[in-house]
Amino acid sequence: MTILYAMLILHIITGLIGVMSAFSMLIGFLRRVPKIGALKGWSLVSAISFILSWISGAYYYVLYYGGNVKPIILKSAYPWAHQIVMEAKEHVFLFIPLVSIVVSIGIFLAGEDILNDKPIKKSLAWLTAFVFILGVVISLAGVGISGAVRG
Amino acid sequence: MPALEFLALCEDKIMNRFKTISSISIGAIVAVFVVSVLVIGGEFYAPLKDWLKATFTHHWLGKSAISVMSFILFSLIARIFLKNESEDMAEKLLMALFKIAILGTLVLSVLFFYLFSIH
Repeated sequence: MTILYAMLILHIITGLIGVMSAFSMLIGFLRRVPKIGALKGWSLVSAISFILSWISGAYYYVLYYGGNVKPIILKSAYPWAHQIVMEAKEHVFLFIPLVSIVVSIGIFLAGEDILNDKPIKKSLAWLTAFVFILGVVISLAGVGISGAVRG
Repeated sequence: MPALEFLALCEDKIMNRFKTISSISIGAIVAVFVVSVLVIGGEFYAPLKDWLKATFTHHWLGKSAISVMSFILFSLIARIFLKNESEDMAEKLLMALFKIAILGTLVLSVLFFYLFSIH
């Protein structure tokens, strides 16, 4: 297995872990009495996973995608897979790790307020929902882009 | 009186928690805005994209680096200059980040639809 291939797999796996962690956080926020320890743990896993996905994705994207994958997609029957899907994906992804870090720090600092159902709990939950939903959309976009390469 | 000093310290620590949350929210809001401007600007003003590529070896690496730097820088600036912030302010800034992140996502998605449609 080459480093390139390993980085691509790492990008996908850590991205999915990030998304699943965000989902776990969302479920945690919806509990009547959230388990703060679990929320803190999942938030850390989520933030770190997205950062790792960012780094590994950067490696693959910069060193391989532009010169080897993008031309194939542009010549295929689905050039929009790069021009719309990949372009949007690679840029909106940049929001996710930052928002995840804010949510994680917020949970660590405002744990008691979350337990006491203060308004800040709802804000953190909404941000988690954003991370989760955007993460799912971006994951599906990645599947679509892979399909365009094969097509 | 020691009791009052202790209460003041507690209150200070509580307010600092929300000050930190407010600060990083501001940092993230600025980072989202900066990334969006760089992406839009790069698509309509080629020298910007060229500068990012020349400085960071790849335009996307440049946007990544600048987003991180913006986040850290503006979080620190906000942390230094914000007065003790309330929970209410922290909550409002978190919601502002939520709305701006959604807006940034929609704007950038529409941008690439638009660029594809005109080419």
